[in-house]
Amino acid sequence: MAELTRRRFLTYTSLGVAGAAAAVVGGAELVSRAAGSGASSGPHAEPIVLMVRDAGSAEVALMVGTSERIYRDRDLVGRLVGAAAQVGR
Amino acid sequence: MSSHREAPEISKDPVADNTDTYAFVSPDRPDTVTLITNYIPLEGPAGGPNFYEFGDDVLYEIHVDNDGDAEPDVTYRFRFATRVRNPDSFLYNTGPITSLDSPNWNRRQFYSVAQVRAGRETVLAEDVPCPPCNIGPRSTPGYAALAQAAVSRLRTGETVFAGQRDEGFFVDLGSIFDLADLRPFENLHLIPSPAAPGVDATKGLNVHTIAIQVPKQHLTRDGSIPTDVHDPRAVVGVWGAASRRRVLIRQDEDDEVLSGPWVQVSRLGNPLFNEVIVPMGRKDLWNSLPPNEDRRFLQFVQQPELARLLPVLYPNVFPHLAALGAARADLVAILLTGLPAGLVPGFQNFTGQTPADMLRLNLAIPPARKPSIFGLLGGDPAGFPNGRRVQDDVVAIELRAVAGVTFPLVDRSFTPDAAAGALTDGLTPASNPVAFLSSFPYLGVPNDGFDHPSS
Repeated sequence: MAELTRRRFLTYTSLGVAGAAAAVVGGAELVSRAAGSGASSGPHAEPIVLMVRDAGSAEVALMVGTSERIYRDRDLVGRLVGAAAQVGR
Repeated sequence: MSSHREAPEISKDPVADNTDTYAFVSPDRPDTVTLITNYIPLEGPAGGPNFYEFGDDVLYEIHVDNDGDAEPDVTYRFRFATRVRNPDSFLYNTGPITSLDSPNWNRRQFYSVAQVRAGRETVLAEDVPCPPCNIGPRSTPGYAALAQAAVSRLRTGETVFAGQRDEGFFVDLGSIFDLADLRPFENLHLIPSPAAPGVDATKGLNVHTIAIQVPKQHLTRDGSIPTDVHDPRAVVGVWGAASRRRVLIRQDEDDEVLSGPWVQVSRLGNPLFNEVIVPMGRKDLWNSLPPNEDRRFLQFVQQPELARLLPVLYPNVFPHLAALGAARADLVAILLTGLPAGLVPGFQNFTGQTPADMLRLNLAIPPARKPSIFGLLGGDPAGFPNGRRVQDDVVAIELRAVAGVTFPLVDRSFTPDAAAGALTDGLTPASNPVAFLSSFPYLGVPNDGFDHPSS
């Protein structure tokens, strides 16, 4: 998977479609692995979507193809919440 | 209605709205089982120029449980793809469509069929053509033969069809949704008027059908062909489901992003379960859950709201039902576990203690020579609630059961009210002039838009 920085990840996230799975996985705690019949066949082969499920518990859902994994990353979610506040202004 | 527009969310998503599910031993091929799930409720035949079609972004599945845990052991999975010949035309067809590859047909749909066992998916067929919608005598002449050409026999032994059909589910919606009025009994209603014949609200309307005919041994847990009615291996549970991707993002122009796992948005086993049993605030939840979660809804089967309403809406007609306070173990058996042996002589379709809404079909019971539309209540064990056939009068059967006709199965001291066994909305399959077919896919030829401009 392509090497992507968290900063770049944040940039994509403002559109709701992100491309920073590697950054999330690197420093995040895997909470659960939802059922999925297939994953991306390669870098950027499919859109990568990230959703902050619960800012309070720092849970993010990362979706690639029909797969979904839930991570907990307080640093990332804190940055996203901060970015969201900027978007909302 | 069986499950047309039965829950708030799915009523806004017709292509994913599973309206009816059928499962029966094929009357003309008793070594096979026919499984049918219908979608897109209340299609007006003249509804063009964008005529009805399956959702390319919907995952359609028919699940079969063969070991009683209410989890799918065999799943048939259908995915659709639409192809447009000429996107610069607004027309569905530019001339008569006389074959499935007609160059006059602008907007065609194809599908794949896959079988899933033990989590492993095997594609059975790809690029299987759907028939067009039945538009009218100039656009779709010879429609019956044209649609029959879309019946495909697969090398693996299954027969499949996916396309428009006549709505075979007969029901008097206009009366039932008007405070549970039944026209033949409306002289007895709380707000009375003269008794009248029933009116088939779905007559002249169409639906979209996914049908697959499967050798029996493809469905049983050990690959056997059951012959003993009392053999637990003879009973399978069946339900249909539709799913959408978790995320849809609309980007610029007409570009869309779909991502995430498939999320179930509709399901259907027994007719009318979500519609009549599950309360409004939980219907959307029910549609999202698998059957093995149905313990959450057990209380609504044990104490159905409709059973409390009937004595109120029909004063002095259901005194025994009004006095019946016990949990409805009969309805639990019919809808959630199957009937264990010993309740009905020579019959069982019990799948175990896991309460789950599934059609339960005993494969060892052969098709009836003289079917009763009242199924098991009519002395015909080949009909509902032993699976469900296209002609079964599930409205009358379930009305009668809820009204107490089946409670003596679990409490012989109970005497049903005299009216309970006569309940009906006044309809039969003959109420619809479009006949069922005697062979696959059994549901009748759809109504065309020219001759049914307003239904």
